[in-house]
Amino acid sequence: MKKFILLIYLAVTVFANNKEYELKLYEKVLGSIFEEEIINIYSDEQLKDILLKSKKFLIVDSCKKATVLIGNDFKTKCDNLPCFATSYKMFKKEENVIGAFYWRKGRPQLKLKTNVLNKFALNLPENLKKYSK
Amino acid sequence: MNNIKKLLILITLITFAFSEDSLNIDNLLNSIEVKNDLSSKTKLENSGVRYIYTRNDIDRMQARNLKDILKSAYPLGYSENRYGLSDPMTGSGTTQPFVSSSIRVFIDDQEISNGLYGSGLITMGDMDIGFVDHIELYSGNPTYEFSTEVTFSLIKLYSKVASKDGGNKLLINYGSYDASHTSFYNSANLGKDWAYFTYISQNNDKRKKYTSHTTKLSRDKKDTHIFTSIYNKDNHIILDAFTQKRDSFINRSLDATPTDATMEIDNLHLGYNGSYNKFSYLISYDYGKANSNFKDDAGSIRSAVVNSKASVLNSDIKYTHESKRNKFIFGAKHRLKKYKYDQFTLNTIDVEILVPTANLNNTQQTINTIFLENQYSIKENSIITTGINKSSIKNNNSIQDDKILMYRLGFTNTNDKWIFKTLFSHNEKVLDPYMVSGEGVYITPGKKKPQEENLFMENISYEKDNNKYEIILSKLKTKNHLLPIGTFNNVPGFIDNYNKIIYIRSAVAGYTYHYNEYDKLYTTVGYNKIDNLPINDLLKEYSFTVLNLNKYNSYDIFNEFLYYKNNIGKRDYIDYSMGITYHKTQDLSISLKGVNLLNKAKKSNYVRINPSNGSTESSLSISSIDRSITITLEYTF
Repeated sequence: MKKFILLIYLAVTVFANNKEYELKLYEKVLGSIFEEEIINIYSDEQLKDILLKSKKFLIVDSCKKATVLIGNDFKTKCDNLPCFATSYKMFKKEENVIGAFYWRKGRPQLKLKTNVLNKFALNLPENLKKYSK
Repeated sequence: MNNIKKLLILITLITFAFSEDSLNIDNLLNSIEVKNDLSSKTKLENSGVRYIYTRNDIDRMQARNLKDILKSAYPLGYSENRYGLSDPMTGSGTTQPFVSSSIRVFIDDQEISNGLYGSGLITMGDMDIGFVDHIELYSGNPTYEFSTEVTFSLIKLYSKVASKDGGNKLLINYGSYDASHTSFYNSANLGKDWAYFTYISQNNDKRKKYTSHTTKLSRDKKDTHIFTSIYNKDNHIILDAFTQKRDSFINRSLDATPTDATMEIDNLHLGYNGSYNKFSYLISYDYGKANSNFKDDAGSIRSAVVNSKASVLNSDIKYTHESKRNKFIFGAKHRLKKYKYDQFTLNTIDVEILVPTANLNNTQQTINTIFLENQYSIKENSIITTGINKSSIKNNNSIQDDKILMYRLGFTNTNDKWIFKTLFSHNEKVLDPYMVSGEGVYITPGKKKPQEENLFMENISYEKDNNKYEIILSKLKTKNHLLPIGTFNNVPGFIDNYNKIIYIRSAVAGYTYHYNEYDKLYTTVGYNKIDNLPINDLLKEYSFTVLNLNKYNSYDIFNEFLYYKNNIGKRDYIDYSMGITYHKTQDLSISLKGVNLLNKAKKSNYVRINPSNGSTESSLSISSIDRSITITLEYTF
C-alpha cells in the first residue's frame, strides 16, 4: 500500500530531517579534525546510507583506503587508524576512538578524546574543545 | 535607551560566550534532539483525533504525574470521585467506585487492565510517569487494533528506550504539604539487539486536606512503582507493578464525615507482545488486590470492608495484509476476567445476607472478540477506513450476558497543508464486573441493556510555516446510558439504563505557533453542550487553554493557563501553573514548579446528605488539582 506513505508524509519528513542534521554534524566535526577536502571513510552498514549523501565524504570499501573508521563495530584489521564511534560502549572500549556521537541520558552526545587525537597527530580544533574529555 | 544598551550587552555576551562554530554544533545537537521525537514513529496517523505530548513537552512541562497531562486533555479533563480515585467521567451524584472504564490506558502496546473495574485508569490516573517517553491521547474509539473493549478515549504511554535513554537518572522531588517523590532508572543495551529499561519510584503524595463539618478529608497516597521493559525489534516484554496505600477521601459517607477511609492496592501487569511476518500477537496478565476499609459514625452504613482480588488474562492475535490499495487487518481476542471478594461486609454483615440480589458468586467474565479493519486508498492522498468488531460477553453466574456489535467508518484526506478527517463510530458498552456482581449494591436488579453511543466527528487542520490551526467538531448520541438514576428499596443512586437519549455536542479550536524549533505556544478554545441529563437537563461547558514553552539560555520556562466555566455553577475556574528549570550542567538540573497557583482550578461537587433526616446539605466543592509548589533535582549519569 505504497500510496499510504503520503499520509505519513510528515513523520517521514521529520525522520529525514533528523538524518540530515546528523550528517551535518559528522561533516562539521570530521571536517574540522581532518584537514582534507574529501575525507575517505570506512563505515559500518548502519551509517553508510546517511554518509553516502555527503559531498564531503568518500565511502571506501576497504579500511586500508580510509582516513577514519566510523561505526559501532570495528572488527577490521586496520587497528592503526583513528575511529569515530556511534555508541557509548565503543567510545569507552576502543582505544583508537578519537570521538563519538551517540544517544545517552535522553539526549544526543558529542564526545572527543584529546589524548587519542594527539596519538594520531591530530589537533583538536578550537570550536570542538568544549566537547573533549 | 537603557533597554537598547541592555540588549547590546546581552548580544555581546552571547556572541563571546559561544563561538559561531560551537554554537552551530550545539544548535545541530539541539535540532537532532527535537527531531528525534519518537512519537513521529508511533502515532496512529489515520485513527481519529489525537493529542501528542512529546518527550520535550513532558520534560519542559515538568509533568511527573499522569494527571498533569490529563487535566488539560480533550474532552474530559481530570477529576476524582468520592473515593479519591481518578475518574474523569464521574458525576456529582454518583457513589460508584469507578465509571470511566471506557478510558483505556496502554503502556507501549499492552493495556493495563483491571479485572473488577475495567480500566487501569482507576489506579494509574494519578501515577508517576517518570518511565514515559511520550504520550498519545486518542478520542472516539480510534482503532479496534488496540481496544478489546469499548474505548471512548485511549491513553498510550510509551516507555523510554535504551537507544535514547541509556544510562542512569535519579530524581528527587519535594513540595507542598510535605509531599516527596524519588525515582531512579537504568537503561542499557544487552547485546544481540536486545535492550532493557528499568524504573523504580517511591511517592509520598501528601495533599491538601479539606474539612466537611468537623471531619478532615484526605486523599494522601503512598506508593512504590516498578516498571521494566525488555525488548528487541520484534519482541517486547513488560513488567509493571505497584503497591499503594491511600486515604479514600469521602468514601461511602453520606454527609462526607468518615471516621476511617483507607485503601490498600497491589497491582501487577506482565505482558509479552511480538510480531512475525504478517502476524502480531500479545499475551498479558493483570492481577490486582484491593482492600478498602470504611467507618462512619452516622448514616445507615457505619462500616464497610471490601477486600477483592481480580485478574485479567488477555490474548490477541492479528493478521495484517497489505496490497497496492488496501491495508487489511483481521484480529481475534480473548479476555478472561476472574474476581473474588474475600470479604464484602456492610455493618459487619456479609453483603449477600443484607442484599440477597447481590450475586457475589458471579466470579468470571469472558470476552471473545473478532474484528476486521481495512484502509482503502482511493487515491494518493485519500483513505477510507472501515472496521467492524463483534464481541460476546459471558458471565459465569449472571443474566448480564451480551453480544455487542461495533463499527466505524472514517475518511482522511490530506495534502501538504491541510488534513481532513471524518469519523463515524458506533460503540456499545456493557456492565463492568463489579456492577454485574453488585445487583442491589451498585445497580438495580435486572438485566441491563448495553449502553450505545453513536459518534460523528470532523477534524480539520491546516499547517503553514510556524503556524498550525485545528478544529474538531463532534456529536455524540448515547442511548441506554448507565447512570445513577435508579432506586432500589427506596434508596436512590443505583445504576440503571437511562431512558432518554443524551446528546453531547462539542467544538474545539486549536492553534499552535512554533517560535522556533524548540519553543512553542499552544492554545485551544472549547465548547461542550450536553442535552437531556437527568438532573440539570442541560449542561454547557466553556474552556480555554494556553500552554507556552520557552527556553532562555540554561533556563526552560513553561506557563499553563486553563479556564473552565459551565452554565450550572456559572463560576470562572482558572488553573494557572508555571515552572522553571535551570540546567546547571547537561547532567544536573533544578526545577521549581507551581500548580494551580491562583487556587481557582476547576472543582468537582460532592453531594452531601444529612444521615438523620435524609435532607440534602450543601455540596462539597473541591478541586482534584491542589495548589502546590515543588522543587526537583534531576541528575543523569
